[in-house]
Amino acid sequence: MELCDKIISQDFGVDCDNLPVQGINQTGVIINWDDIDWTATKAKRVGTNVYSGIVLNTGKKGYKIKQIGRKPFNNTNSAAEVGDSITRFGKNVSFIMMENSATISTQVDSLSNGMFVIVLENLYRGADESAAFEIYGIEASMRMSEGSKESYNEDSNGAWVITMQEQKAALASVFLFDTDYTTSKAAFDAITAAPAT
Amino acid sequence: MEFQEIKDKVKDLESKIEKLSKEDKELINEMYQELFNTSVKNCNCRNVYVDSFFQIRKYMKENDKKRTFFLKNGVLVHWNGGIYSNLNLTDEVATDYLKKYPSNTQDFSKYPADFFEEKEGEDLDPKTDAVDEKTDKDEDLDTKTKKTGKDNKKK
Repeated sequence: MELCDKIISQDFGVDCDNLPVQGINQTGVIINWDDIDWTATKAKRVGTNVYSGIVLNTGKKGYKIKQIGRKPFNNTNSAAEVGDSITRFGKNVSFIMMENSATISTQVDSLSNGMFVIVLENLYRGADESAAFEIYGIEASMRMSEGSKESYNEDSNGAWVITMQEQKAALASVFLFDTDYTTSKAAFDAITAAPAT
Repeated sequence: MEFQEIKDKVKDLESKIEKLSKEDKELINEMYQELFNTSVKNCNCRNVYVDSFFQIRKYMKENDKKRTFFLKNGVLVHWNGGIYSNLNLTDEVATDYLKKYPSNTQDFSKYPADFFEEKEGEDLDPKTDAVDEKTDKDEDLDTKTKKTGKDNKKK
């Protein structure tokens, strides 16, 4: 029986022309779990942790999460969950609902009990640009772990602050990447195009 | 709604564009669905119907028939050096693509029902023409030289 233990297969170097930079772009995408065509999406898997596209069921689309400010999606993070027998990864995506209305409030209700996949754009793309678009929740889904609204909060100014979490994912990071940044951006944008009916 | 009928209705709406009635907006939505297989964006944006009308008018100027192939959201088609999504896919590209990769119909939300019926002089048998596109792209990703993106960018 083969083990799933991984082995290191390359150097951990320093690319002085592509040093890490912090930050996430202001527009992300959130997709309802059930709206994903999993058969077609799995066919787009081109490596252990790379998908060249996320395909949606007919008539479905992803939705944009727009942020403003100096630190969009602040407190988004990934961390190892070390276990005695196996180590997994927990991932958090945090954002502020920049609008408030009765309609938006129903969206918060949906977030509170639904399952989702989120795609964010890292400002640091990596030398081969494969790290630009990071997918959260494609293994175990993103679910709400925190939601709060404080009228006099200095950062959120009364808006809903939401944290979505994927627990016990097998992979540290998963990326949406196809050929180069431009093509990957097209794949990212294609998720939120108006759906075919 | 036939293509010529849409063309005539677009012409009628030109003079009313600054003050659209509820019926005009419904008509724009209907034409939009005919051409783009989707509804006008549902938002409180003030100019959404005017913008949609201009999209329709542009499409009518640049094309002579309605599209019949539509991709699912999230799908990109790599074909002949170009990258196509639902925003820029044409029937010509879709036809050539599906002739070469007939097993990729799962990427399409809509295509003509009779597309794979054998027509005189054409060989559309999936058994003879099936090619594993995933293998081709996997090879590209494994052994790729870095592309600038200019080659693949499609307006």
